[in-house]
Amino acid sequence: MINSISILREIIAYVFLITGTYFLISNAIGMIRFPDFYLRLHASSKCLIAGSISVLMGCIVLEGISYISLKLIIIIIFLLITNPVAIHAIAHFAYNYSIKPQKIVKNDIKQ
Amino acid sequence: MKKKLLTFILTLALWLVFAGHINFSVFLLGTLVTIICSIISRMFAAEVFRLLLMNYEVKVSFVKIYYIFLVVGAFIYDAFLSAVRVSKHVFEINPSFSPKTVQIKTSLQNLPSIMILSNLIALTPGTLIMDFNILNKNYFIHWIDVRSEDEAALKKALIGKHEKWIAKIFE
Amino acid sequence: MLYLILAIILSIIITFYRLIKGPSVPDRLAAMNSIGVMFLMILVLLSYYFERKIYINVALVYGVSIFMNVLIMVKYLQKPEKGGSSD
Repeated sequence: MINSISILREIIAYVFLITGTYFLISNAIGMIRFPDFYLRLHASSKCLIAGSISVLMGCIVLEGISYISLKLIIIIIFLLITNPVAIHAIAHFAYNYSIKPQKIVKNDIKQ
Repeated sequence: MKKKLLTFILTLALWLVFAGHINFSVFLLGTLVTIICSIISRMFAAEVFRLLLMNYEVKVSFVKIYYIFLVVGAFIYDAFLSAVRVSKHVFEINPSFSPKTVQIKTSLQNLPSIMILSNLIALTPGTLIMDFNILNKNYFIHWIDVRSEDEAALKKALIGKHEKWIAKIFE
Repeated sequence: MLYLILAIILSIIITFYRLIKGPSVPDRLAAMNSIGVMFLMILVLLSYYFERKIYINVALVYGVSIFMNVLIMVKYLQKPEKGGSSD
């Protein structure tokens, strides 16, 4: 009985880890294939955050309840707060650097 | 005094997690370090806890904790949903986009609540903030993957729902 | 576990192309940020591969330094405002 529970936990942990690695690889390919700067920033924000959270949650399930999983939870909270702030700082810097989005369909900002 | 005590307890808990085991000497060293840290950071802490602890009734604080859980759940759910959509665009053979730039006016007043709303907009599917105008309180937002007007109205309603939750917490 | 680490290293190498060739400065900043977070994931996974859990402390401190790195670069590279001092 105990053996089957540990096997089930390992399967759930590896599903989380493989999903996170897939998101990180799709981030890397999106950085190359997308044609515009802001589209690249879309790929670089969403896939990066989801991939890192998924890898850390897989490590928590693999670990169980101890001090080390508390440290991993602190890393998750820190990444959730600081990573959108860093992406927003880069986008604001690019907007002031006079990089305009190309191939735009509809524009509301009067310049 | 209440704010300093709350800062002290939070920093001591963080110290005990970092240390990894509880001992008497670890506890004594932790109190010394956290007293110094809470004295140094009292200017920043007063700004944050003035908003959180504005009224001390017990019932109101429970409602606030419920909305904090809702906002954190919305963070993680939106992150996974939008990552699946973007990674679907990455592996297409001929990816087709329809980018737009849009202005949205907000009704929030405090600076921390505006910051948290901009973090939420950065994670909802297909939106990214370019700039914020402090005089008119307008967000400049860059969108992909919005084809028709119905989707635009639906996403504006989603942003308005998040804005209502944040207004319950901070104001 | 080893194959996951190798896959993340492959994605770092692909992103490094954008860091070298990127046509403008913000492209290089975004590539630098994503390489930093991917390397933090490698540090967490290596502590499970070698079964030494004390290496997680290294990842916890490294996560702080990425955020400071991006903010300092953005503040340093900005154009000076009209009539204002650029500090």
